[in-house]
Amino acid sequence: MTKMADSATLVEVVEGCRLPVLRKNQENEDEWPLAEILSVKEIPGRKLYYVHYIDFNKRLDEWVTPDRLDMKKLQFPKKEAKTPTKNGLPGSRPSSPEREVRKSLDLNLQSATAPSRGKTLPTPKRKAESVSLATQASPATPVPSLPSSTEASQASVYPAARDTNTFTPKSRDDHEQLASLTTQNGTARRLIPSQPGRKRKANCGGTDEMVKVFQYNSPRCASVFLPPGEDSQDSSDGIPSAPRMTGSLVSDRSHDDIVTRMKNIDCIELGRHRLKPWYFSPYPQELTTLPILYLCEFCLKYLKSLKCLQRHLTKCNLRHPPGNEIYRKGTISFFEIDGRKNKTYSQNLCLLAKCFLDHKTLYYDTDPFLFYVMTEYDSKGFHIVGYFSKEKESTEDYNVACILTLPPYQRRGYGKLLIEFSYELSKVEGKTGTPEKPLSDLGLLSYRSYWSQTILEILMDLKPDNGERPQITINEISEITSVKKEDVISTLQYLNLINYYKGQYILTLSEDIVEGHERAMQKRHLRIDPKCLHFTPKDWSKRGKW
Amino acid sequence: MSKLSFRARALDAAKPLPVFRCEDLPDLHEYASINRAVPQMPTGMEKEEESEHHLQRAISAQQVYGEKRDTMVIPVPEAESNIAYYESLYPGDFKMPKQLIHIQPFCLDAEQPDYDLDSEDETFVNKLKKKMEITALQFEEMIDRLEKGSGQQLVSLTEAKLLLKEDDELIKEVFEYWSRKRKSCKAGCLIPNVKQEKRDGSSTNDPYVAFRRRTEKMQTRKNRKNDEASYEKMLKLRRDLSRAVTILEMIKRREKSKRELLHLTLEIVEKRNVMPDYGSEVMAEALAQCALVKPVYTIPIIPPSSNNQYRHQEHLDIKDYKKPEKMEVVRTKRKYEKKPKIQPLAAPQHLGPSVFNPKDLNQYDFPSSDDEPFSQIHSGSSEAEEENDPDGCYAFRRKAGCQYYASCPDQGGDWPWVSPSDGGQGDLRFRYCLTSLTVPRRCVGLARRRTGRGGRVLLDRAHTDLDGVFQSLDSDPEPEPLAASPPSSPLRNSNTSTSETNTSDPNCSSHLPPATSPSSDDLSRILLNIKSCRWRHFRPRTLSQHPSGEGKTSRRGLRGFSRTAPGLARPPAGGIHSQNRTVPAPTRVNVLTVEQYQQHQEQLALMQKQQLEQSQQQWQVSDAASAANTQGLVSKTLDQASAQFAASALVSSDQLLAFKSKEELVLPSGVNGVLPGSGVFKGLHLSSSSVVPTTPNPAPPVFLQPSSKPATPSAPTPLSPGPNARAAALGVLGHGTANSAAAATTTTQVLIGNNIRLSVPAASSLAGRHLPRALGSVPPSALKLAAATNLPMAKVSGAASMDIGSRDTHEQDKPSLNSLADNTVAMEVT
Repeated sequence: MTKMADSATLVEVVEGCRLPVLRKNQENEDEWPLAEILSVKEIPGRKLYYVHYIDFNKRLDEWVTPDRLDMKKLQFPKKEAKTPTKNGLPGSRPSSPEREVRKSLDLNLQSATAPSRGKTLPTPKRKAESVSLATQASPATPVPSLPSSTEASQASVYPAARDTNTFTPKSRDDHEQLASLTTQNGTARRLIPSQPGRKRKANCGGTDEMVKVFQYNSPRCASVFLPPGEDSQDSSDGIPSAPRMTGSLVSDRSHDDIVTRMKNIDCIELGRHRLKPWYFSPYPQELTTLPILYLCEFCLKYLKSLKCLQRHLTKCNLRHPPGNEIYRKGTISFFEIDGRKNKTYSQNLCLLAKCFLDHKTLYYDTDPFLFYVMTEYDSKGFHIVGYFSKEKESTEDYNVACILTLPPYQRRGYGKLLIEFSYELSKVEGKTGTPEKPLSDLGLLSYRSYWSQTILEILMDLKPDNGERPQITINEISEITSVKKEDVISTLQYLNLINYYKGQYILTLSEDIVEGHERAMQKRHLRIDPKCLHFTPKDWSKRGKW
Repeated sequence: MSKLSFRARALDAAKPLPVFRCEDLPDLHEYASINRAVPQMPTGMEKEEESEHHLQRAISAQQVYGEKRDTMVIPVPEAESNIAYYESLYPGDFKMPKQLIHIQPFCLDAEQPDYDLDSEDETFVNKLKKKMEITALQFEEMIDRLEKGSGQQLVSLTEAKLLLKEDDELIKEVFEYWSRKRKSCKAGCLIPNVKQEKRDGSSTNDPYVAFRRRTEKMQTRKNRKNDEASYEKMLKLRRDLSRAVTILEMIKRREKSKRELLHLTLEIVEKRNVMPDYGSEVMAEALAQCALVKPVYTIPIIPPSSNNQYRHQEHLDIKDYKKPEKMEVVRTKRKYEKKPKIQPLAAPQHLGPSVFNPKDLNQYDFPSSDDEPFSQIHSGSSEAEEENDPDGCYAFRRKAGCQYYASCPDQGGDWPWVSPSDGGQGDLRFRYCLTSLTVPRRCVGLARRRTGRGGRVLLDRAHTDLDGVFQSLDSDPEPEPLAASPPSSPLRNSNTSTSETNTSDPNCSSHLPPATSPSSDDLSRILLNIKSCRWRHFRPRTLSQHPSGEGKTSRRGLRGFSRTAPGLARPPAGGIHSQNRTVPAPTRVNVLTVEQYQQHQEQLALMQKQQLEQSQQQWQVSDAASAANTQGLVSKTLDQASAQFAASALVSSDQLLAFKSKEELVLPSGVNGVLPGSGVFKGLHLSSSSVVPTTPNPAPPVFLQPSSKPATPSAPTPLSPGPNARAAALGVLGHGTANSAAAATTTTQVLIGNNIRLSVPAASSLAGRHLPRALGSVPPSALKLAAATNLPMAKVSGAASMDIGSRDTHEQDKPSLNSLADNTVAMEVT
């Protein structure tokens, strides 16, 4: 029990609570954005809270000390939002994966007891239990900033929480492991609750609500009970199971649970850089507790200590990514790595990339992907700067699956270089392409910027032919640049170039646009030289399975 | 405003958009409200993330300033880049290779232990070093083995000893250290690894499990298509393999038969030796008895779906042309004595639906034993096969579901030129006479002239001892080099050697005037005979009559021919001169006079009549057997001729086009002689429909071309087209067509006479086999030319297939007709 010194009442800040949290902005000024508590841990002497700033990207989530919390504006998890935040009972929960339970509900199979689901048997019983408890509890559920009665209401709610908890047995165990490593405290604090929903956003109760609804009602009408206002991703939430097999990104956050919502690696040392990961990455769990995770700069192997890294370097003689160099100009090179032939490297690369890519999924193996690693050369070797992956065969015109410039190299034009390279490959293939969705915020900005510059470059170079106004079709732009038609249109729109004028669409270049473009192009020194590209596309469909 | 009253059209990506500068359009803002009609494209981000504070700020900043200002960038967690020990950690000696780096597959997996020594291990190893030999790498190796050797359960010490190569003491130390360390390790494994998927599927949702196997393969359309393709390939492979098995089985059987034959032969020789039959009288007797009972070779019919294994027939023919001497030798070797030699091609004939010519045994082109000389010609290798198979894509291909019978030789028997003993009429007109050719100008000795398929005139030559004399008989002042040195000429050699077979045929010799018997005397006697017209000597009279005009024509005709000659795949020495001398068409035309032509027409009419009569009779088996010789010759000649004709036809098809206009002049002149022919042609639908695809394509042009040269109304026109509409549509069916229609008539009527077995093969062999070959022997350039000059091939085939369609009452004919259609279609494809 933590008592806030400045709080008159006895309030425990639990997972799911929202309150303003102090953070420094880029100008180093204090601001108090609203944040949600995702996790609480106790280290000797004090508590730490893992907060997510509402409307800020997850990458800014952090562990904060209690003094940065503004307890006066504390909001408890929304009402019956059920919030079964904590698990008051010892970890004796049945180990049926929640997904499976819900799946079985969806499929109206709740009574089915397939052998593999033997452990799910207890479900109905507990459900009944939870129903009674939860119904009891709901009237008493605390409303935001309701001061007292928390103990009781929470207590009554916990059992329900057990059922709505979205942990799989595995993750829960992992989590316990993690928790036991990071907390001292006993059972009460042990588990980080699943609660605040898988949605990190305001309507955090949504999914739980849905889960609960499932439990309270006949599963056969599951879809009916989707909470209104949830976006479509949640509607697919009902069918969890495995993510789709194609692509590298999850747009469906149903696989988000509290574990993946939190960064698990503190710091990664890669070559001369120390990187602060932005997101969860499934490095071996025993390594997540280390203050620093060491990576071999060239083979990207993860090591638990500097000593191990030193030892490893005596054995590892890679000085470049283990693939074929398909581009070199100056110090910039690109290496192509086959995700099937070079599994270890590809997996290591993915693990590293996942630290900086929220939507990337590592659910499946790397076989169907090619990895294009951009490096910068110096006397120590070819240092990884960034990479993008690409499906060998994309059913949806994707020419990029994941794309990343490592943080130390960001904001220096490398991202655009990677993008440009990806389109050069598409040009060689004679296809138009588009990056896999969803884009991240940085991805959107980078791509928009690349598209804008590429398209403006073309438009500015258009010469009037024999006195007529220069004109161009969207398809032509698309063919020249290999940028997919939709992206061309969206860029033109975004730049506000398309206008409807006297019965037809025209493209207009304002002075601002022209000047801005010229300025931007002056700053863009790094360009891909197509002549330096030595690349022959392979027809992967003829090579069997990837 | 009216401007707002309509909806803007959707943006068309294919429509050109004019590019304006804003300053050029001062009134643009008035239209601004319509801009909303441009549909907003999604950003591709997740909705909730899209609304994030920093992104929105950055976007708006970008829109306001055109470029992001530094303060408006999206903040990210910081990164340091000043690791002090970096320089010492990584060696700095890497030189950039000049070439792009290219890694060799599998060179990456150097045998290095995955385990990396940590500081705890280091102290242990250092301690251990005092007692025994151990290096860090060795230690790592050991731990690596132990780690990888143990799954759920730890490796036991005994197992460890098996696993490791080091001495027991060291193993014990390391093993103890390792098990201690492992027990205290929470992860349960000293080599950190990304968590693997559990078999039972319970790890579906574990966020730490990554890189799962893709158990269900992606079912993209492409892959499915791929599967289908490979399935088909597998099917084909199975088919091919089973065919190979069949073939091998047959080879086995053949070799067995050969062995048996050898044994039997040995037995015979021994018996004869005992008898003793040195004069081979007994043998001859026995053989004569055998001749009555024809050997029957039955060969299991292979599923007709197979395409090309039946092409052996053509191979055989080609082979025969190529190596006549050799064959001759072989055959004679087989007959032990100087028995009348049987003609190679005509050798054993037989009947029966599934009865095959013994030569069929050669269809499986395996170089096997020595007594199969020609098997080497096309020994297996596909390349060789290609060379030997000038038909290429026009090769006759069996059609599934059709039954094919061995070609039936019997029909040849009743030709006017066949001796009565062979069932023919032994017409006097077809006796052997002295004959001279226009080009090359020389006397060819004794020959007889008869009409072949397509109206071509064939010269059968007979050999006598006086050939040399005949050569010199020619009055032509310019001695042909060929004729001047007869014995040394290979051409002539082949002539003599092959024509020997003719002469030795008793049937043939019986036709010769008595004076030409080998024992006949000197030159003066012969000359006397000739002069007293006891020997007829056909000479190209036209030469002397129209020296200027005809000379020119013949030159042109000759040129046409010589152009085609190289197109023939096989050397003329072996082919053309082998047995029957086929006179090049142009020459022949020039030779004919009106008188001869009329005579010819009479012959034709007579022939048809006779054929009609004869087809009513049931043929005697023995007759058929004896007629076989002739038939063999005939079919072969036709082959030759058709090949030549096809070649010249295609080459000269441009000339044909030129002629087409003149043809209309010719038509009205109404060469009546043709009419009976065309009447037959018309009346016998069946036969005509089967003939149509055969003849019209190559033949008419050949016929027409030479006659187009004279281009005078008075010119003899043995070639005037049948004046019916269909013939015209087919690109003019010549005289020859009528003839072959007549030939086909035979087959049809035989067919009517319930002798299906006999008739069908004739149709198929005429149409299906010979024609494609003829075309195939034409050089590709000529074919292209033909295509370019719009030879009415396509039309023809169309008409042919229509015919077939409309006349399907004759069920029996269907298979062969179908195969014809197939062939014609194949030609179209070219």
